[in-house]
Amino acid sequence: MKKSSNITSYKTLQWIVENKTGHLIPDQPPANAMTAAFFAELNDLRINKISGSVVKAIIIYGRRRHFSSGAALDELYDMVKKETIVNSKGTIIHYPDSMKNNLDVLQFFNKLNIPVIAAISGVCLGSGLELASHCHFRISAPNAVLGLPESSYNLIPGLGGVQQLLANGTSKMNAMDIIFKGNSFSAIEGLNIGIIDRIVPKNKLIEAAILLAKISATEYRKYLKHDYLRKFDEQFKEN
Amino acid sequence: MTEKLIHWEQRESIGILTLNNPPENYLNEPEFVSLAQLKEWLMDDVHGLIISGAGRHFSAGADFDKIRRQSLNTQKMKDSLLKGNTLVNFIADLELPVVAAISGICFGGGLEIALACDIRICTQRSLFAFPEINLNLIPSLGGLKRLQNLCGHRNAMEILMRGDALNAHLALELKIVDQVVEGKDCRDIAIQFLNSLIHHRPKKVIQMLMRSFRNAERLELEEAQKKDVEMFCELALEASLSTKNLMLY
Repeated sequence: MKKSSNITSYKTLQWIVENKTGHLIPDQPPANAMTAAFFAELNDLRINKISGSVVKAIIIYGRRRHFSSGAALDELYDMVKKETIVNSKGTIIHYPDSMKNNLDVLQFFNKLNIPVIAAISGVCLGSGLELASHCHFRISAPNAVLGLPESSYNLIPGLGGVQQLLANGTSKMNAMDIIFKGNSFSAIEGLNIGIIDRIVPKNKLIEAAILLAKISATEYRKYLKHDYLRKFDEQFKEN
Repeated sequence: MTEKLIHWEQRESIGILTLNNPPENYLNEPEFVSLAQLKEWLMDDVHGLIISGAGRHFSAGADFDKIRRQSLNTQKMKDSLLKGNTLVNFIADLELPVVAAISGICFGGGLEIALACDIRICTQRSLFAFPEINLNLIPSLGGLKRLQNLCGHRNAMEILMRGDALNAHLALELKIVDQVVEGKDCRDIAIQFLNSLIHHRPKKVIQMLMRSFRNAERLELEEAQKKDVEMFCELALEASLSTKNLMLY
């Protein structure tokens, strides 16, 4: 872990503080898979850098083209096999701590009293979308590919994605549709079902995130989410 | 006797329960289908359930003349209603997707049944109401709470206290229904939709997803999420131990 003034570089992500905004940047080519290493570093980040930090907002975006392709399944299966304890009858008596901790990390971002903004481009699948769903706002490039494909693997979203989707305003019918089918969908479909808040041109994505961060950081939670977004609309158009 | 008034059909892995007392499909009694019978039907490889009405209407609810006659025996009526609640709660708690396909009239007890389903699809000319108040009665199959959960306290109060009928578009706006379709019948669309959800999914995955959706309604967010983690781990363990870790379409 390297640190120089406002930049902290881990192996799978970077944390850059600029103008009191924290940039959380997954960076693990090709598509920022959420590996065990990633979660460990994200956890370290929240404990050592974010808690007690003076940042007024956090924006999360992938270093390159993608947000995140989601969990690394093989690694995940290995972890589950290793950490789950089953009794003689085949009932699980202890669930993997890793999974519980990973959920804890996502919930941490959701519960922060400063705005947390996901700026999505490229793929945002599975636990990648779960991370984005735990953020307070989600803006996206037009050609992003979103999805919760867990059902295709005979799984369910494992990091609270179902609950978060519903809590963010997606209807039960739409949530059931995307979760049961496991299909990917576009940013615009995401917008229509309440997963994405705004679509912005790809080359303005980070700039838009920074703007939204600045707007919502002022007296955060004093106003409703759509008030901050309305202000964002006004100011973003002017540029 | 009640079996005649209820029609059951299974199409592949979808069970179709039809209230079969046209034209109004009055509910013969609160336990409109024997719970034991319904459980038996669901025991086969049924992965999803459709509830709809025979003919033009979904259901006009209870036959109020019958209620007036029955009300003389308070204890019997109470027992009957408790059985009805057990049945409706069973449908609401069922860990399979339940879709109500509604056309025409969906009033009173009929609406309470529809509200216990996960999803309500209706035709453009459907009508929804709780007319009980017009007879100085109240809904007694959990409809009040379920209505409130969907459209909020204020709207629920207005609907219950006025007893007026809402059309499909108002019902959609108030989130009482999820989708309004053109045409006279939406049963096929409902079946198609349900099939698209459950097609080729193992029953266990379907059940766990539905449990997750139930938990979303019943538990606090974080508690529900913790349960999701546990269900995920259980499924992941099974998947990791199975010989083929292939993506299944």
